This record gives sequence, C-alpha cells and structure tokens, in this order.
Amino acid sequence: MMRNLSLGWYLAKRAIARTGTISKIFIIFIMMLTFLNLLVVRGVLVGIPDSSLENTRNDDTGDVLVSRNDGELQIENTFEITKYLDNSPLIDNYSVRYSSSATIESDFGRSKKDSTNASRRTATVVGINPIDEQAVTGLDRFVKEGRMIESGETGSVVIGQGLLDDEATANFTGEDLLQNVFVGGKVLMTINGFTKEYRVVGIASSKGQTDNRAFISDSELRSLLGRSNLNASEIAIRTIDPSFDAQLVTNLRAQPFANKAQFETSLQAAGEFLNDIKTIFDFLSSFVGLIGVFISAITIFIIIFVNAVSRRQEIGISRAIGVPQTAIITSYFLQSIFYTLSGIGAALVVFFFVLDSYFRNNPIDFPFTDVYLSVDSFVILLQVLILLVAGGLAGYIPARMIIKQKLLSLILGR
Amino acid sequence: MIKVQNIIKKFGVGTETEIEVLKGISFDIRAGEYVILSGKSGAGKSTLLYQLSLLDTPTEGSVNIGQVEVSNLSEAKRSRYRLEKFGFIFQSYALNKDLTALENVALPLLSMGMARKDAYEKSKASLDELGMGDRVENYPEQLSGGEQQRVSIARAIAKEPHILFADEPTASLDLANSDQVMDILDRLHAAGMTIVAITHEEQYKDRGTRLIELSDGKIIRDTDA
Repeated sequence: MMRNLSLGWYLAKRAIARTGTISKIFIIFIMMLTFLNLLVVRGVLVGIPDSSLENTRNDDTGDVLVSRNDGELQIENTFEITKYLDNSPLIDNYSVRYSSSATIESDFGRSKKDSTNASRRTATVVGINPIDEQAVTGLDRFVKEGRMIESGETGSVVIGQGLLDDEATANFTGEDLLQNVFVGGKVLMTINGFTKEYRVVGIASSKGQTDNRAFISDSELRSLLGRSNLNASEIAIRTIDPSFDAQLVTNLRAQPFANKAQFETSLQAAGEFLNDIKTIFDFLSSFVGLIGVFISAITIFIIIFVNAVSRRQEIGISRAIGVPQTAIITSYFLQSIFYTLSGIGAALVVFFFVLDSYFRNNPIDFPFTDVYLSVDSFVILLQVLILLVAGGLAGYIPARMIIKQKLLSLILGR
Repeated sequence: MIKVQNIIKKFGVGTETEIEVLKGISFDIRAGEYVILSGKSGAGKSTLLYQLSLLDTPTEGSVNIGQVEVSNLSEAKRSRYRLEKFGFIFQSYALNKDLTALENVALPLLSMGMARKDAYEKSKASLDELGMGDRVENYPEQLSGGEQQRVSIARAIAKEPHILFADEPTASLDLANSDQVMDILDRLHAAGMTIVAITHEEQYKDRGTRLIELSDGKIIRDTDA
C-alpha cells in the first residue's frame, strides 16, 4: 500500500512538473474560481442576515437585551436587575432605556398653537443616559450632524434621519416625514399628553432602529411619563465578550426576578425572521455551491480523462511491465488533488487578503444593513473537504476507467 | 522453463465474428534459449507471445512456468509475475513522457520495492551497457526512435528478468537502429538470458537458437538453428 502510494506520488510529481506552465495555471485558475464561487456566494448570501444580526447586536440590542413582558409598559423591579448587573463579572456595560410613543411636529410656525402648516408624525422617543448608551452601542457615531445630548440635558433632542424629509431619506414606511428639521431648529413633541418644544441638537443616521427614533435624556422622559420608580422599557447589555451572551441569559433567567422581564441574546431578540432568512440563504448558497463543485469536478474529470486517454498505450505498457495499477491510479488521483489544493490555496489567499479586506472597508450597501462577507472557519473547512473529495473522485474515476480496460487493448491502442 | 500445452485462442467468442487465432499450439522453451517467432502477418505470433508472457489468457490450454500453471492466475498475480520474472520490449517503446531515460528504466525496479538510490544506480548501469549513459537525464521526446528503443531495452533488462519477450522490437526502426537492437539481443543471449522475440524480417530469423514459424494459428516449423 505504502509502496504504491509512494510510487504514485513519484509519478504524479513528475507529471505535474512536466505539465506546461500555461496548462497548470489554467487548471489551478479554474479550481480557484470554483472555490471562490463557493466562498463568495455563501459569504454574500449568508452575509446579509449575518451582517444584519451583527449590526443589531452592535447598534441596538447589545449582546443581551432585557425587555418588558408582553402587555407590560415597563420592566417591573428594574432596580433588582440593574443591581444584579452591577455585580455580575460577565458585564462590561449596560444602558437602561425608557421609551414611549410620541407625536413629533416640525415646521409649526412661530406659535406652538399655530400648527396649521406643521408636518407631524408619530415615532418612538427613547430616553437614555448618553454615557451608558455610548458605552454599549456607541450611539455617538451615528450623529451625522450636530452633537449627542448630554446627561440630564433637558429640552434637547437628537432625531433620527429616517423621520425627516430630506434628500438622504428613503421613505419606506409611507408615513409623513418631518419638514424643515435642522440642527438648531425646533420640534414639538407630545409625550404622554404633554406637549413640549425641543431644540434639535443632532441628527442621527443609521440603517437600524436609530434612524427612526428620537432621543432625549432618560431623566426628562421619566419625568414626562411620571415614572418615579426607575422601571425601564429595556436594558441593553454589553458583556465582556460576546460569547458570554448565552451564559448571561441563563444566569439572569435563574434569578428571582426572572419573571419580571424577557431576557434574550441579541440573536433571540432579532427574532425568528432573520434566523429564517439565514437558514434559507444558507440553503441557497449550499445549492449554488454544489452546482459549482459539480462543474469543477466535471472539469477535472475531463482534464484527467483526456490526459489518461491520450496515454492509453503508455498506461498499458506500464501495466504490462508490472507497475501496479494502484500506483498508476494513485498518480492521477494525486495530480487531481494537487490541482484542487492549489486552486483552494489560491482562492483562500484571494478571499482573505483581497475580497474580505476589501468588503471590510467597502461593505455592500444594502438598504437595511451594510453587508460584509460572512466568514465561518468551520464552513470553509467543510467546503475545502467537499471540493477535495470531488476533485479526488474526478481524478480517480477516469484513471480507473482507463486502467480497467483490457490490457491488450491498452497496449495495442485499440 | 515454459511449457505450452494445446493453447487455443479465440476472439469474439459466442458472436458471429468469432475467430480462432491459435489452434492448439504446444511446445516447450528451455532456459537459455533464444527463440524467434516468425510468420506472416495474421499468423498468430503476437497472440502467442501475449499468452506466453501473461499479457493475455488462452481460451483453452495451459501455460506452465516451472511447476506453476500461470495461465489461470489472477491479474494481480500475473502482474507480479511479469514484474519480477519477465522483461518486455515492445514495437512501440511507449516510454513515460514525464520521466527521464533514467527514471523510465528505474520504474519497474521501484515497483519491485527497490530503494530509489539502488534503482537509479542499477538503471544507470543498464543504460551505460546499452550506450545510453550520456542520455540519462533526457526525456523521451529528446531521444531518437532508436535511442528510445534502447531505453526500453534497458528498462526490460535492468531488473534481470528470467525471460525477455520482444514483440517486433525493430518494426519502428530504420535498418541501422534495427541492427543495433538485434545486436543487443544477441549480447544479452550470449550473457545467458532466455529470449523470445517476434520478427517478420527475413534477415533476423537466423539470429536465434531456435526458429518457430507459424501459419494460420499453427506451428508449421520448429527448428534449432
């Protein structure tokens, strides 16, 4: 067995060395394109939901989201939860948020009571501690104009660009957009029956929830809601490492306050929708990838078959003089593996050093998220194995087909 | 050494085109003989050589080497027999294009499990013996037909086979190269090698120690030279 393997490698090495440079480059190029096809198609398709989930985690929910129970307006006993969070070694930071529906009016004229020509719409207004929020989601980076509100600041609002009628806003909702809103301008907000004028200190823009929200300080919103007990609407938590999210959720669900709120990882909080999309896109990419593997296997098959057919007599005489069939088949198998591995290697270099870094710096601009290529080491390893098996079979089968022909037919070239 | 008993070889058995190429051939080959198989085209000499050298199996009859009936062995065992006991020279030399002259000669030795260094040394000696010592690093495409045939002879003899089978070894060569090849066979025989060679060229029929002439699948002449 080892002798045949060694002899097969002896023959394969020399066959590869003697193959013309252009032919070698061509075969490796085909294998590289095949594997790149596998990597990129999956990278983009799975990258859409993956990037969306990642953006949700980074920009909105944090690693773990605590939210109110269905039908509740607030998280009961928020204090108990934050006390636990303050002492948990898994926590890096957390941001307590208060939210409420608000009616926002702009372009309302000189008098608050003269709202004949005002534009208005409803939106979610979120009360935050800007320092905590910055630590969890880095909200400041979304402020494209003006500045973020400061802790305890009153009468100031940062407003999402998705609520505004300007050139940069794509109106997907069909709702009215606010006219003439600019940094330094004013809007009227009605929250919990109280109407108050707010100075726009910043405009935030993102492809997530931030774009359609307005932000004021937590103390001001609590005051407007008449909420003196600190009970929040949600708590976004950043763990010391994202991989601790499930552990933290398990820990939280084991506490006495477990029934006071919903505790979810960002993946769970994103809902079944994104997960279902991921499953579907995963399936689609596997399907498209398998077609690619099939085509590359046929390509290798044809190359090896043509090569073996053109050497039928040589193969026959090798058999006649006693070179073991296994060694001859092994040589074609190893040639195929060499070309497949070279193609895979070239594709990995292009993927990681060119495409991945390019898309890191220039993500694909989808309406709801910036898409990066999804890179999953386990899946890539699996794809490498699939292509190697396909390439190996595509080398083995034609060689075996030729070598199993009658010896005299091979020798005499019949 | 080789005992051939009543060999019949048919092609297309059971079909309308069934043809009997060998029609009950029997003879013995003794160690050290140089047998020339001769006959007109279609007489059955190549088919007979293939049965003797285990490249094919007879439809009926048997081939014994020593005490072993080899015609019924499995392909794997026949292959092993060919590797260890026989040397082959074909009309078409069919050297491996990817291997140098030295590597081509070494291939059967490596197949037998010989260490590469030893195989190369033995191959080099074999090529030297055939006047090809200065072409060891050349690939087949860089050699003339006569040189390629000498490499294929070196490949056949490097492993010191018990019997050397040559299937029209001069058919693809010009006169000068043909003479050289036949001279080499003479030298190998003189050194004690058993040789069975096919030729249809009149001038080489008397090179052997024995001439077996076939016609229509039968031996019509079997004479010592």
